[in-house]
Amino acid sequence: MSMRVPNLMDNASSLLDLQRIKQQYSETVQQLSTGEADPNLGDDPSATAQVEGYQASINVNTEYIAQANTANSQLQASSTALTSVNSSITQLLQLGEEGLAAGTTTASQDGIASQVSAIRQDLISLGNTQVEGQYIFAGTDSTTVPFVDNETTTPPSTTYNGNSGVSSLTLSPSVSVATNIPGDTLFYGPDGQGSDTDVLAQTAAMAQALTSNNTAALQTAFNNLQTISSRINVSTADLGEREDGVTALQNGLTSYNQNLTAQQTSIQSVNYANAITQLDQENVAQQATLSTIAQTNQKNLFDYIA
Amino acid sequence: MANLTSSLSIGLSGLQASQEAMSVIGHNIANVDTPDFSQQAAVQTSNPAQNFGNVQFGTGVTVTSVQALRDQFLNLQLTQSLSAQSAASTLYNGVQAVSSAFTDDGTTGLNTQISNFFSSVSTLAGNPTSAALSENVVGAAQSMISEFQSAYQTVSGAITDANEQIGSLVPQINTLTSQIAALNTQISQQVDPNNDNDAIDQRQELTDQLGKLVGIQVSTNTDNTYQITLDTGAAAQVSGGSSNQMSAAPSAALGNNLAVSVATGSVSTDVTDNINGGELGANMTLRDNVLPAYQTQLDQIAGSLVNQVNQVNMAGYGTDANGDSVTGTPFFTGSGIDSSNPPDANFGQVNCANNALAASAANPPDYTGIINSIEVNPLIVATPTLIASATAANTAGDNSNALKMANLQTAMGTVDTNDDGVGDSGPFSTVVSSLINDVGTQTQHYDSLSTNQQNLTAALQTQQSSVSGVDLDQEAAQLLQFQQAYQASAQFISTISQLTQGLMTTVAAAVG
Repeated sequence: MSMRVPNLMDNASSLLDLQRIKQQYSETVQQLSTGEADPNLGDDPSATAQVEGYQASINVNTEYIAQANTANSQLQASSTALTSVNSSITQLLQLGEEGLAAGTTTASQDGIASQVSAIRQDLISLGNTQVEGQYIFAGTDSTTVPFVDNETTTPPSTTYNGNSGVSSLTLSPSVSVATNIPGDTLFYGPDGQGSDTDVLAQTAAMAQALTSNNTAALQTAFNNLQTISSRINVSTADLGEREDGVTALQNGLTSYNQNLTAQQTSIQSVNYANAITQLDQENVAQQATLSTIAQTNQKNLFDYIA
Repeated sequence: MANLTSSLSIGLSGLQASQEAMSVIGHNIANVDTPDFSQQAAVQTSNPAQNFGNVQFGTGVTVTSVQALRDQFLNLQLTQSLSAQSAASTLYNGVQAVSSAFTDDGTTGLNTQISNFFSSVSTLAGNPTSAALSENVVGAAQSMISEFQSAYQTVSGAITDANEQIGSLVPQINTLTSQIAALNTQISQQVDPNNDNDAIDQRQELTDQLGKLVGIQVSTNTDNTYQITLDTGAAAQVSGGSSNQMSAAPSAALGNNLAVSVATGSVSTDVTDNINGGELGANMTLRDNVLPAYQTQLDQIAGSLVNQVNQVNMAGYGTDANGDSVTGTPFFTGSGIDSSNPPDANFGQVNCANNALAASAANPPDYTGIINSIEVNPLIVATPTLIASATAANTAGDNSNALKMANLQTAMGTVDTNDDGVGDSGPFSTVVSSLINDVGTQTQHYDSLSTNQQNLTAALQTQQSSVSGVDLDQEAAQLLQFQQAYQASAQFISTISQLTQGLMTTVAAAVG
């Protein structure tokens, strides 16, 4: 069956086609100019939701990576201080060996005692190490000077004004890492202030033993410092392990984020080859439609009636 | 028997019929581009025969009517389709206009700003005594609030636009219904109401225009007048020769938005909830349903964020300008947040009907418009160290409370989506993504609907045009046909005239 095709209808349908081709052309140009496959929210909501999901994960992981950086920075500060503490204890042990050696004169012992006292001051300074204005061995009371020297006692003693709080940072929903060692734990050891595990007390005891030429007391202090040195070494190793763990997690998160970004880009970015081909096709279709409209409107029977 | 004089009358009737038919063709050609014009045709009927004995002789031709070629069923279908297309297009434009406010490009956008806020809290946890990092948290919170408010106000603006559009559509609708009623009167007063073709076409064009503005049902009365009601059948807009005027007035029940009524005589009926199609129905759907739903979700997210962050901050300890530990400080404040003094059970949380009790299903929080009323607590803006990083007093380096706040970002059960004061969703980012997805899906839906409706309309217009449209080729062919008929009638008259002249000459010679 044939259908009447009046002139008005030709133009209406052709113009609708032309309008759609131009709209599609405009969208393809927008894709190419923005580089995005779906520049508008309504273009592909499921793709947008996927991209949003990836972005949320990337953002959270980026925070964890930043936390890991901070954690490593704080752990490194503690680690550096601990290395100095170790070095000081090593010096103390060397001085103790000198003091215990046979034939050491009283004058020599006084000289050694002075060096030991100086190292004690160094240790107190290390206990009061500040990073970005925070006392890293004050527990969570990080604005308070943790170790205060008391020279009025014999031997000299220290007071710890920090607390035993441990600060942590979150590196993933299930992983957090302690970023400090409280000063009392580190310097006073498990038996507390003034005990055999107190490095500051044992240093003071060593100095006093040297001054008073008390070999037995010197030997005791020496032995205690050896034990303390081993404990500090364990703490240093523990910090190193924490740093390694944080670095490994950081690398894993960085790699994971790279994968997520790649996934996100594959959804989000326009396929230039496809888009350019599509633009060419739409260009041809637009020209063909324009040409068709022009030709359709050129002729009717009136043109042939003389 | 027929004589020469009657033959002249036959020839004259042919001339007149051809002339009238060509006049109709001229009318068609003149209206080739007139919307809703129906091609017309002169209906020629042979005149009654004259009896001469047993023989009947024809007496020529008369144009008995001019008929328009139209399919009324198709016309009414097209009106409905135009109404649906107009509605879909309006809905698409309305949602598309606000969709950009929900776009997240990684720099701006709700999820990005929420993420930036929690990221700043997380960074503060790395150095909880840093005043600079505390100030960063305040800045990030303010940016986040601005992003929420910007999205919310974009939607509010679209609601206002839709409301204003409703107000401007009503007078246009009234003009059209009055014109249709007047044409109804004109058509019904014709001897044959079905033959006032141009008035019928004009009425159809006006009805199509009316359908684009408001959803309607059209039926035809026996006198060929249109009976037009709202698409839900709620109220008559045109009944024969009378039209019922529509009016729009602010309504307290609609938050001073416009309610629409139709006056039938002295009775005014509120039809706000009974208009579905056309631009008017679509703008009402946008204003009352689609756009407010986005605002509701935004309010729930923002209100829940306020509640969660305030709970954590109030439980922890920050330090004031003197360095003293301070607890119980809400992070966010505003007219929508309970700030009773002394603090009550709901202190620091989004206002409930009864703030003396904690929020619950029986005492639901009022999230409506909370976005516009929240701000970072001015005390915290002045002294950012009041941000409670610590769980215990006098522990400036304690970051455990800051970590709790930062962990809200990935926590479950954060957003209260059913207004019972209890978080029941996934993390904030998933709720925001869900909202963005809703906006995108609806934009896509209305885009598809608009395109589909456009296709349907185009198909119906093609059908209508194939029935009623003017085809210039056809008109040209018929013009030739009637031109030839006219010429033949003229030749016939000329021949009869010559015969009469010859007869007269012969008779004169015989008499003379």
